[in-house]
Amino acid sequence: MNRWVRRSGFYLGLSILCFWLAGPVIWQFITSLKSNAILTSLPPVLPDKIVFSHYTNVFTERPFARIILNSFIVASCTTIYCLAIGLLAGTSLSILKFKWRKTFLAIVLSVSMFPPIATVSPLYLIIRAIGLRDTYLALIFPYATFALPLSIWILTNFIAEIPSELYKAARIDGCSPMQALFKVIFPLAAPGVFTCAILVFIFAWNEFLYALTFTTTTNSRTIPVAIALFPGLHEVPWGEIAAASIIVTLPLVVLVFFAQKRIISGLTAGSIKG
Amino acid sequence: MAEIKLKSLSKKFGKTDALHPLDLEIRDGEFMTILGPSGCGKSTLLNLLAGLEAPTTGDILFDGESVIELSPKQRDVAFVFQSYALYPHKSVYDNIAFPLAVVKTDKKEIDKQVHQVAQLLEIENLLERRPKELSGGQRQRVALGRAIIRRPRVFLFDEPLSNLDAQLRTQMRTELKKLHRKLKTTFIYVTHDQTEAMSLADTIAILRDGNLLQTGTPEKIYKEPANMFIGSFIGNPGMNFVNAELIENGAKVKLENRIFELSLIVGKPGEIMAGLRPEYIQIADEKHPGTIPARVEVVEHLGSEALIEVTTRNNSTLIIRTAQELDLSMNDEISLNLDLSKASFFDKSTGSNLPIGE
Repeated sequence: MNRWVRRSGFYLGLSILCFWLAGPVIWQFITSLKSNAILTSLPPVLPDKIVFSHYTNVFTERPFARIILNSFIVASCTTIYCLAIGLLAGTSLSILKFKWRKTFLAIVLSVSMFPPIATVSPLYLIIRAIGLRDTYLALIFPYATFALPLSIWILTNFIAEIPSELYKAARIDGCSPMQALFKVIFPLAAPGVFTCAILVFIFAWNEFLYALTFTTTTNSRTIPVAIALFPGLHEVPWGEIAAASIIVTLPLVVLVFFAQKRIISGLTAGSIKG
Repeated sequence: MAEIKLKSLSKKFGKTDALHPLDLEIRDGEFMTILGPSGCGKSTLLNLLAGLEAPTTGDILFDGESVIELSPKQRDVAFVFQSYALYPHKSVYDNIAFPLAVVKTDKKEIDKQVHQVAQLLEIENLLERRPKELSGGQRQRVALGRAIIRRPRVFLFDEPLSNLDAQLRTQMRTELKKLHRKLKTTFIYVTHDQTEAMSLADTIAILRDGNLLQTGTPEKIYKEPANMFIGSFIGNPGMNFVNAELIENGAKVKLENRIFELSLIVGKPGEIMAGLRPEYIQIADEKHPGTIPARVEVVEHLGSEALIEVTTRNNSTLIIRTAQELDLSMNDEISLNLDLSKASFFDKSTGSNLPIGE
């Protein structure tokens, strides 16, 4: 009896937590399927008829496909750039035991501590001066500045977990330093690489302030800014905003599910006596 | 196959000397063991030989040619790590094949050689497994396989057996010795375990605090240790040391109030240390002139032999190894026969072996 009470209490708590986390998304999803007539009715009602017009409108009446492409290019480039530099920096910082290593790591991390709002105006001036306004690069560079320290930090810690003998063994077995990294170190750092990739990609995908400031047209505008600019002079298209939000969440969900399988902890078990 | 010469090789890390300049020659096909307590610089020496670290001074010659400027790859050495350092993301097969795969060897040739090596090491049934599915001894074999497959000029071993349990260690020791005989390649083997060094090596080099103290055959090092440290480090238990005095121009030695005549002149008269191996001391049947009285402290029965710790009148502690069947217990008074003809004598202040003079 007591066990049943405890167990039902546990599931009740779990349900509340799930609803707390998923509630807003579910609300958005329901809103995106409502017809315009009942969109703003109070109290909110469940739609009696499911309407897909908001989803089609987002693509037909607005350049949303281009916006998604922009976001995808910016987020991917930022991720690839951060991983490439982060892996090399992380390897050097964890395998080569040079002086000032810790200090260097601290300085690197401090770069990402400036609040974006403090840097946005000077960055705007710089970007305008070098003619990068409304280009992908105007977003990729600032994003990387923020995401790279985090990537270096994460990857350094992951690679430091890999026994340095493995690097030595690869060198002895005939690898050049670069071959040793690509054939031995990076495959073993895979869980770290995927963790890092997810974090950087989500950061770049969702970033708003820089995107709002540095982009002016659909040439480079990203999703959060585009959705924020949906409201017109006389109306707020709640249905389309909800539909767009649901659409752009899907790639992240897919990404996380895809990467989760690859974040297998304990991949290094067995190389060193365990 | 390579003959190796080290010429005043040294290594500093910052301001600390990991290795003081040392000279060492290793013959082609020799099994050389570098023995020393932890932190003596033996792993540094191995890293220098492998090319994983650059020396501060000196030169390394393989068959007369300097390899200082060469990368590990070009030196053509194999390294077996204490931790085995198997690639966890690769199967046993790919681990062994890796050195060949890196240099883009033909797939069929790799396959042939992997199976040959696996057969030699009796791990053919493990080829598809991952390192984490193997036991310590099996991992050790895979690590050996990865080293063997390249047919390197030199094998370097960094305490390869220290992670195995005692029984497996003895077994692998025998197999390493057989492997050396089969391959006829130069083996350089680093260890802190004197039993391992004694049983494996053709030649032992003893290292301490970055200094090369002595090189020689296991027998020579056991019988004629260059200093007191080596005397106590080699042998299990180590050498016994007794205060003594050289008299009459070094041809006689006074020890425990008895005077012993020596067949050779050992050095200048004065205070010295006499070093006696546990088996050079016998328990005398009865008290007669020339024997030394002592009191039994501890008796350890080891089956085929016994170790007996005794204290002499002058408060020296001696450990005796004997195969005699004796019924001794604590505080028994016994007499000892010392065989000083096999003893070593050391300078009391420097601890180094006294030269035999004219």
